[in-house]
Amino acid sequence: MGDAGNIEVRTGGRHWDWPMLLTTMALLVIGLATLAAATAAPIGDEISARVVKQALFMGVGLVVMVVFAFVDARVFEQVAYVVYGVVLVLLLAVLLFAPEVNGSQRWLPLGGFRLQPSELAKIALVLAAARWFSTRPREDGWGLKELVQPAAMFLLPMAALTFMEPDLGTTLFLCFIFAGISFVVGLRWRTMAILVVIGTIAAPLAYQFVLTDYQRGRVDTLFAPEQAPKGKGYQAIQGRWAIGSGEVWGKGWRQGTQGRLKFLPEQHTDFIFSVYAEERGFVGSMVLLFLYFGQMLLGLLVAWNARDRFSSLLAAGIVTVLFCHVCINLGGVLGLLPITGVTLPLLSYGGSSILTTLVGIGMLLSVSMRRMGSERL
Amino acid sequence: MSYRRPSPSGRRSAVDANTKRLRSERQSTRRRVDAVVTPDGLAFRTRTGAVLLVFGLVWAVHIGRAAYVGLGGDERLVKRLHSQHERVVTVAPQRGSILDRLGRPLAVSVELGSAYADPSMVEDPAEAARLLAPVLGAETEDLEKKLNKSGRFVWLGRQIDEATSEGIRALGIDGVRVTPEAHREYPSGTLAAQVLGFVGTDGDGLEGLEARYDSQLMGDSFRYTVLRDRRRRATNYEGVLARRSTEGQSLVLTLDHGIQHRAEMSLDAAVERHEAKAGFAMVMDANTGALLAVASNPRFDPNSFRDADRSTWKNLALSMNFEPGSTMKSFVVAEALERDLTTPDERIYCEKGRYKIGRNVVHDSHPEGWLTMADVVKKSSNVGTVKLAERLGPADLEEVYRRFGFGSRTGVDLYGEEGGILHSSAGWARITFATHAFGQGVAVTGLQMASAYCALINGGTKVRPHVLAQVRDIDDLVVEDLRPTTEGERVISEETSAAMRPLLERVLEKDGTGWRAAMGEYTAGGKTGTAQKVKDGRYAKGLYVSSFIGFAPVDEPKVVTYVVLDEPMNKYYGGTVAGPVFREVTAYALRSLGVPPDKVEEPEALAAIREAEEQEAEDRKKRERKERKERGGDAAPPADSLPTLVADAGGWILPDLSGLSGRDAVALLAAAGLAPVVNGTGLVASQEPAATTWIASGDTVRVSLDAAAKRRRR
Repeated sequence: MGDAGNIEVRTGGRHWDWPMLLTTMALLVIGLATLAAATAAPIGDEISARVVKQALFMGVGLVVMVVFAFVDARVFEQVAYVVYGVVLVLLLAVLLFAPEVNGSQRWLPLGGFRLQPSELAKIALVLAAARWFSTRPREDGWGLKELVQPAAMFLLPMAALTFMEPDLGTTLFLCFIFAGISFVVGLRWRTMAILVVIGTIAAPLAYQFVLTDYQRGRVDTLFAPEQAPKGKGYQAIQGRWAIGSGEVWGKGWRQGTQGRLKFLPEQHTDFIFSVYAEERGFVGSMVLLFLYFGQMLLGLLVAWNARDRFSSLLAAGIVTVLFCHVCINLGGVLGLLPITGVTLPLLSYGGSSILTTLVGIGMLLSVSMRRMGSERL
Repeated sequence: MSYRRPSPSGRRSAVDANTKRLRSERQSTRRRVDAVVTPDGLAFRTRTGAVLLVFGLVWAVHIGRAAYVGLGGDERLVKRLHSQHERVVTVAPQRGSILDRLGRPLAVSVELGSAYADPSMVEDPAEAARLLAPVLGAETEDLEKKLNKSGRFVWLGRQIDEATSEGIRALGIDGVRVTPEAHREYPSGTLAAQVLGFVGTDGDGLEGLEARYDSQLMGDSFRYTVLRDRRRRATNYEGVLARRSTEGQSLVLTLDHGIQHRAEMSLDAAVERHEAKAGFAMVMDANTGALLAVASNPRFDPNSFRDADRSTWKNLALSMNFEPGSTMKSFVVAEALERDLTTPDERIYCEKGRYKIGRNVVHDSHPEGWLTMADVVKKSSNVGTVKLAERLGPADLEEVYRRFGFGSRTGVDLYGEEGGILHSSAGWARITFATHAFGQGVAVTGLQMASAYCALINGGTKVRPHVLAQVRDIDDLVVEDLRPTTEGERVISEETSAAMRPLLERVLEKDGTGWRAAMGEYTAGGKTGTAQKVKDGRYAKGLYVSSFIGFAPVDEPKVVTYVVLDEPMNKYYGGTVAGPVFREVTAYALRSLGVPPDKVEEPEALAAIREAEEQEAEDRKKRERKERKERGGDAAPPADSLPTLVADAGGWILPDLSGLSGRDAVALLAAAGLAPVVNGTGLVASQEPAATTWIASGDTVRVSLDAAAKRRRR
């Protein structure tokens, strides 16, 4: 690469990013099968209505993905700020109108479908930050002082609104996305070191003074789930038992007792990996991990080969979102991180999650189709 | 970095002209790439590489962790999961029923609710107690105390009725629940209470048949493993099919509900009329020893056995040892006949009622001079009997008593049987030997006496008294038939037995001691007994055990009925006190068993029916002869078919009786313990209640006869 003449814009079937498409399809198929197991009644072969609903969302999501793939990345760039504004309004609407469920407001009821704007916020933040950073290259990198402005413009409003829902998980998630994009555009190494030090000092303080008892409990159980096997640690323990009982080859599809007997809370959403690991074993878990890993690798390649800075940052941002989702979800289920309400992309049940993930992948495909064709030279 | 908005025309060109689009795209991208390939751009690639590195590291951590969690499971984990997912369920089987010989229920199990609480789940015990008190009919304070207990289980009310259960469920108090519990019910109340016994609240048989056959009735509790979910709900019931075979088995008794009821009613009336302390009456099948009724007074209600005096739980027919008195004389006479030491017509001097034996005197209550041996029995002369016994001697007297089963248990299948007291003849004084001959100084049980009489009059073979006929499983299939199949051992010759029957029949003649026991429709024989009771080591004045034992019909005995009243106050002769009970009970029993009346004197109603029937039969024969002649063939006359009564829920389903003869209809209904009322002559034209209706035992069935009714055809 490196030569202006070596650019090829690819559109049409020939230029599809087939590997990305195939891993996505594979994950969707695994997701649907696992959901069928996770929602199966203790006895009988019936397929739950949720599986049908999820399949419907997947269908709609795939159409949306293809549509997004055909849209030129410049259109995304153009509408980035508008999207950001709309999502901000939606987040505000959540605080004003959303009914309270389990002590927090997260869903906007939209005639039969419950929209979760915090899912959209992740994409919106990526779009806005990518556009803003793409027109402001800094050869000497970004320091704390320079980051104040974009952080105040994009991160702060969204982080504050989600924090007020309260949805601390999403707030942290948005911070990670912003940090990821900052890193890619050239965060100074020194600044990074300072941030790490600040984080290390702030974490225990936040634990002590910012977190609610409930959130503190989540952190506590990470380190000692056995302290409350029937209470806060229940989910973590049961999830780990499920994974452990799967052993090498698993118990077989819809044969997992932990899952079918409903011992895992949220087993069709946040804890779907436990169901999968119980039935598919360690080998199946590896297959899934490599699929995700492969997808992210392909995403980074897209960012690498993108034809312009916005596309590049957009791709990197979307990969960051996916990465954080997978990492935080699996980290929680595997007992590496506190349990948060973060879904596993393409596997967890839920329309908002599936749609936003497929929209993100659609944008990746769009960027990928118009990449620099180095291999053609 | 410069940036140019894509022109609307540029976008349109993407649709319109391919080449134009490509060119414009290239132009715009070329400029962008220039911007990317700056030192900043190179830094971007470095950064992406760093991101890749971070990804890789995090991935490795995840894989490592997944391997640790996924493959680190040990045996303990598997065991814990099994205990979490599986539960062994123990199902207490339903207790079997106890049924009478025709399948009428005597003891059944029903499910009732029992209310309990998990105090740790009850939020406001005071409020809960206030709400529950009126529903359960309990004191608020008591309930509150229970609800404040520290455990996780406390009974609030056991075996409550359906309305109360519903009331508790309707309150919907957290931690207060109703669970089904088996409850034993005795639908006929006190009927045969001492035979049946009862079960405790936890379902264990405590007395009577309930205790003796507890394991059969209870069945095996059934255990199987179910998967259970997080809410501890069981999710599969694969074992349920296997459960049926372990259900409790039902006992079919030889008792007859109707006869038992009749025996109890007559006994109770006699006990009351004669102010007796206690009494019993039993009806035994003379040939098999099957007990058709065992009534004991006083009685208790097994539905509320705790309220009853414990002494009433005893079945006096087998647990009371008593001196029987004159009923023993029959065995002396029988043995004397057996050995040809006497004949019925032999004349015996009865010493005018005073017979000196050493320093003692044997008295007769009605002094006589010369009597035939048959009259000695009929008048129940002590002196005459002692003289017969003297021909046998003490050792042989003891031997004959033992041969008939006295002095040892009969082995009946009931708890609490006593064996009577028969001392060795070696120790008898002369007077003791004499009193043994008329049933004093020897103690027996009712069961021994009834069994001995069966052997005496049934042709001379022993019977094994029993109350259990069959054990059936839940599908009503016979598991075990317990009725004795082997012929009993011979006690006396058939000739002696045959000779005894008319001797005993004469006791019921107008001038015999047992005249009050005579029935209208059936011939019968029997013997009275009036024994003095021993109190403080001496025969007490005014304390008697008055009894009557008899059999019917005389020629082919079907039943032996024994009636005993302990300490009747106003009258004491056995014939007077127990005779009428024998009459009522035996007549009822024979009718129930469908034994045709055998007395020559026919009741008027039956005579009219019979005459009409004979006339009708004559007419029919004539008609059929005529028809056959007309047809010229010799077709077989159509056979009559008797309808049957079907036992159902303690009563009967009436069949269509139309076309039956009046006699057949009456016999059929009477055999089932129903009360037929017949009007008119001829064949049954109509009935009330109608066919296929349910009717309780003892109810009246009205049957109208009409000479013009059509004969029943198959």
